Amino acid sequence: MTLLIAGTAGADPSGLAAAVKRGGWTGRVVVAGTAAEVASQAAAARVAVLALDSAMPAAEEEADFLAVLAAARTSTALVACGVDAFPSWPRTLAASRSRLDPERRLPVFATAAALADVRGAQSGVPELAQWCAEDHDQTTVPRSRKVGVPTVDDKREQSGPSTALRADRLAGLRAGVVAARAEAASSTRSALGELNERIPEVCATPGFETWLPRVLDGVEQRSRAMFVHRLGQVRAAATCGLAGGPGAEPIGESTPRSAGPVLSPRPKARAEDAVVVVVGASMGFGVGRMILAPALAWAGLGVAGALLSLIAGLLLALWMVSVRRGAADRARLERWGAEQIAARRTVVDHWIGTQAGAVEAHVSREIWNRTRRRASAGAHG
Amino acid sequence: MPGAGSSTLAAALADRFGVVAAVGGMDPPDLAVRVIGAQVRVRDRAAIQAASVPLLVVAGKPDTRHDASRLAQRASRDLGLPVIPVCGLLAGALLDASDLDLLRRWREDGVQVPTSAAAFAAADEARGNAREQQMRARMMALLGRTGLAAALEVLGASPGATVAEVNAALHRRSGVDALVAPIRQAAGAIAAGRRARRLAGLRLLSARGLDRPAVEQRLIVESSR
Repeated sequence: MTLLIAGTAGADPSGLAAAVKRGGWTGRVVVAGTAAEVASQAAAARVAVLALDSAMPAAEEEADFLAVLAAARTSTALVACGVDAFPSWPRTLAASRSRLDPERRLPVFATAAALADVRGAQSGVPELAQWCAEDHDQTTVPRSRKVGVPTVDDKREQSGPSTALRADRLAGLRAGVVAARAEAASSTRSALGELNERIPEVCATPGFETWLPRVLDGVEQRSRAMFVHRLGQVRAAATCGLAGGPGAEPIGESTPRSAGPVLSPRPKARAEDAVVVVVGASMGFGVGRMILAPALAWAGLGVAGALLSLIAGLLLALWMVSVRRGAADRARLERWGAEQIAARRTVVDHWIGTQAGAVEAHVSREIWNRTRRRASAGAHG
Repeated sequence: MPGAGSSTLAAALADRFGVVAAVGGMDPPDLAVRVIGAQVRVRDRAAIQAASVPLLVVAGKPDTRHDASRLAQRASRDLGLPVIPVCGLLAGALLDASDLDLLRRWREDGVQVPTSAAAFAAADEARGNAREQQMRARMMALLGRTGLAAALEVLGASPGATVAEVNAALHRRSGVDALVAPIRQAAGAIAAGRRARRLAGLRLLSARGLDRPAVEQRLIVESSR
C-alpha cells in the first residue's frame, strides 16, 4: 500500500510523512513537492493526502496538485499541517477548502506533526493514519476541473478595446510625444550650449568659419535622428496590439534640413581701413619724430632722419591697424558664431515642434481608425 | 500574498524605520517588499518579475518554521535573489510596562511555553481563570510562541531588563535589521525611480494640455539635471 503526500515546502509534507508512519501507517509513504512528481506517483498510490500550509490559504500550486490527483482518480484528503504553530488555522483551512473543494466532498484533517509524539496531545495524526488505511469510495476522489478556464474577470480583461482603452492610448501618445520633444530639445540645447562656451577659444583658429557650420550640421542631424527614433518608439507603443496593419508613416515636415547658407564672417577691405592707415601713419610719424628726433639731431642725419621717422611711423601705423583689425575680427567671429548657434537652435526647435505636432495628429488618427475597425469586427464576430 | 505576514511586516517597517508602508495599492512605491511564505509560489514569481521598482524579497513568519533559514536559502536559489527571513511579529513588538510585569510574573512562576500555541492559553495552571487565559491568548497573539519564549528568556538572563531593552532584544531576533543594508543599497535606484516618476508626471501634465508651454519648459530644465 502506498500513501502519497503532496504538498509545498511550507506544509512540511516530509514531517507529516514521518508522523503518519509513527502514527500507525504501515505501508509505503511517498512525498511529492511538485505537480510533476505527484503525476508520476499518483497512479501507484492507493490513497493521497494533500498537505496544506496553515500559514496561508491554498493557491495555484495546491489546485494543480489536486487536479493531478483528480485525473488519477486517487482518493484524497485535505490536511492542514502545523496547526500547533498557527492559532488562526481554522480560518486558513476554510479558505483553502472553499478554493479546492467548494462542494465539501473531501475529508478534512487538522494535524500537528510536532505533537505526534507528545503523550496526551491531540495531534490529529493517528486519525489521519486510520483514514488512510480504510477503504474509500468514489466520493473521496476529487473532481477534475478544467485548467486554465478563464474567469469572468479574465474575460473582461481580454475584451476588445473600449473607449477608455482608446483614451489611454491617446493620453499615452501625447505623453510620449511630449517626453520625446522635451528630450530632443534638452539634448539640442545642451549640445549647443557647450558649443557656445567654446566659441571664444576656437574662433581665432584658422578654418573656424568652415568648422562651425559642420559641427552645427552634426548637432542638428543627431537631434533630428534622435527625435525621429523616439517618435517611432512612441508610435509603436501607442499602436501596439491594435487590429489592422500599421498605417502609412507620418509625413515629415518639409523644412530644409540645414539652416540655410552660411554667410562668410570675413569682411572685405573697406575705405574705413584706408582711413585708419592714414591716421595711423600720421600718428606714427608724430610718435616717430618724437622718439627719433633727438637721436637724429644728435647723429646729424637731416633729411635722411625725416625719412627714417616717416618709415618708422608707417610701420607703427600698420602694426596698430593689424592689431585693431585682429581684435575686430575676433569680436565679429564670436558674434557670428553666437548668431549661427542661436539661428540653428531656432531652426531645430521649430522643426521639433512642427514634427511633434504632425506625428501626434497622424498617430491619433491612426489609433482612432484602428480601434474603430477592431470594434466593428468584434461586433460582427 | 495573503497569509504570508505582509500586513504585520508593513506595520513593523513603518514602526521601525518611520516609512510609509502599505500592503498592495501604493501607486507606485519607492521600494517593494515581496513577502513570500515558506517557498516561492507562482504568483510570487510573477509579481517579482513584474516589479518595476527596487524589490526586496522577505520570507515571512520564519518563527513558525523550524527550518526557516534552509527554506529561505532554497527560495533564494529558486529566484536568484536574496531572500531575507524576517519575523514581522517580533520586528514590530511594542511591549509596555504592564506586559513586562506580566512576563516577569510568568518568569518567576516558572510558566513554560508549550509546543502548541493554542495549548498555552488552555494550560492546566490557567484552567478556570478566565482573566489568565485571556492574558495568555493576548500575549500569544502579540508575540507568537517563539517571541514569547524569547521574551521570557531575555528576562531570565536579565531579570532587571527594562521595557526598551526587552523590545530591542525582540527586534534583534526578528531579523529586520538585515533589511537595512539592502535598503541602503537601493537608495540610488529609489532616487532614480522618483526622478523618472516626477518626469512622467510632468509629461502627463503636459499631455493634458494645462499650461503646456510652462510644464514643458520645466520638463526641459528637469531633464537637463
